Amino acid sequence: MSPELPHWSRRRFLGAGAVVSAAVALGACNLDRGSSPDESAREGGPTDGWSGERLDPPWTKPDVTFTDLDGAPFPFAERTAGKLSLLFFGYTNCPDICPVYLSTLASAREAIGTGPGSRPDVYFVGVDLARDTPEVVQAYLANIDPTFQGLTGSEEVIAEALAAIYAPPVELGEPDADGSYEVGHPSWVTVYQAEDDRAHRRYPYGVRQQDWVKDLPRLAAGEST
Amino acid sequence: MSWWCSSTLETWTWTPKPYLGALLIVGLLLSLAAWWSLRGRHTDALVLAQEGSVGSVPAGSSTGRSVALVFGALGLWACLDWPLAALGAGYLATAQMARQIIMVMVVAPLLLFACPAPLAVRAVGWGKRLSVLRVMSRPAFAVPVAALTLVAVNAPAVVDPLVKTPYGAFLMDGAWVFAGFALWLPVQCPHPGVRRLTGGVAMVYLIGQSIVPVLPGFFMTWSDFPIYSTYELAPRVFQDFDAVIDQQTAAAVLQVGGMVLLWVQIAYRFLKWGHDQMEEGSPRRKAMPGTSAVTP
Repeated sequence: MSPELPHWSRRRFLGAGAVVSAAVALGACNLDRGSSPDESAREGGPTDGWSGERLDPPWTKPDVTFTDLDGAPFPFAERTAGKLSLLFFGYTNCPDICPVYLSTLASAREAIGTGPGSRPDVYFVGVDLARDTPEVVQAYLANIDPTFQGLTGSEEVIAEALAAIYAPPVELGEPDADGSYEVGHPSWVTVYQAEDDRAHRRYPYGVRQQDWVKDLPRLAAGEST
Repeated sequence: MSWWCSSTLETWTWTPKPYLGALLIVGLLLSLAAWWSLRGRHTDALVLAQEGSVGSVPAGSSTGRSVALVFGALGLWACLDWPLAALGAGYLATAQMARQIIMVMVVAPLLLFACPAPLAVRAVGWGKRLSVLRVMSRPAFAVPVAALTLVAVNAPAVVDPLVKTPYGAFLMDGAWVFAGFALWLPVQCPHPGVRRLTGGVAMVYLIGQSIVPVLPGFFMTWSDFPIYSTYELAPRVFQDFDAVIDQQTAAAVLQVGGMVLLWVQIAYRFLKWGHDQMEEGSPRRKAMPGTSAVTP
């Protein structure tokens, strides 16, 4: 027959139970954490030694003509032929992904310094047609990296370009009291390599500076697998 | 309302967002103080006449303890609640290191100082728990344990996964509190059954302790890239304050800030020690008990 538990043991047992219950209750109280647009992008990643996801089969360039910041036509496939080109769709009022991603890329370029991969052509396409005017895009990129090139285009051109990278169309959110609104856009950079003008990798949001520093020279050297 | 801070990837706003867990903890601390204050019997015979007592009842007036409690509780609240906790958990390494320094170098010693000896005796007793406390209060135990804890909870492999959830962030904050208490127990243990370091030895210990904040800051200072993905990929709070600048500032806060706070306390102890030495050597102290006047 087991002896009766001493009084202090019961108290400890009840105390531990109370602590666990409180922890569970507090966990359930986490009401406003919300879901982030790209939380999954932080988790893991490719395991083949690259930080970008492999595209198989590789993607061809969007055969569209954007407009550069001087208002001149910019036939993308033609003008970027034979160059390592990074294409990103975003908007200048983006509060999180765009500035963080572009700053990361700019810092990585600076960290590489000179040599292969240090001077890729980076294109930012402003998808918020109402607010991403050439002047605004120019000022925006000048703050991040003046070597980044801004592009705009009509709704049709942007839709066609997004379709070429298998991205859903641009989605405009509901304006808030101040009239500002969010814009749904792809949160990755598509990298077109110089050798075959095709994209073998895309880099989702969550890729870090050190990842770019490792991958850009390899991409510039023509590696893709 | 969230119960604890964590990294949310949401855009930073200055709209206040208090944390339930922080309010609960500070509320519990103040409730304990109020209960102790209302309890009345502050000098238990058990405390002062205990056979196992090897140290002295820690110095400090009741007013001094109250002031320490107020500042300790305020510091704790500032560290655990919005905006510092939210900024630290998900946006700025600088805020996170400021929280750490305040917790380890300010809140922990203040709360230990604020704890009256009878309360420490009531909590720890004179049995096995006191033996554990005595071991924890040895510098040879305290410094490595605190240093290892701080290095571990500043490692990117630990920080990045932990700050993603409130439970993880809570664990990390708990580790800071543990490290803080561990670091200060040898000089600030409130239990009269523990022999505390005093005078010059305490100062030597504190000077030696100043190496502790340098260890976790080392990697932040010398890394070429942002070491924490949480802060590198977080939405920016301030334009032009990028992840690298943030990391360098965080390292400065940890190392320089920690050092300054520590040296303030060393200086205070030095002055107090010098004052006590002078008091001990003064004619008034040398006078026999009952002497009403001392003539030069």
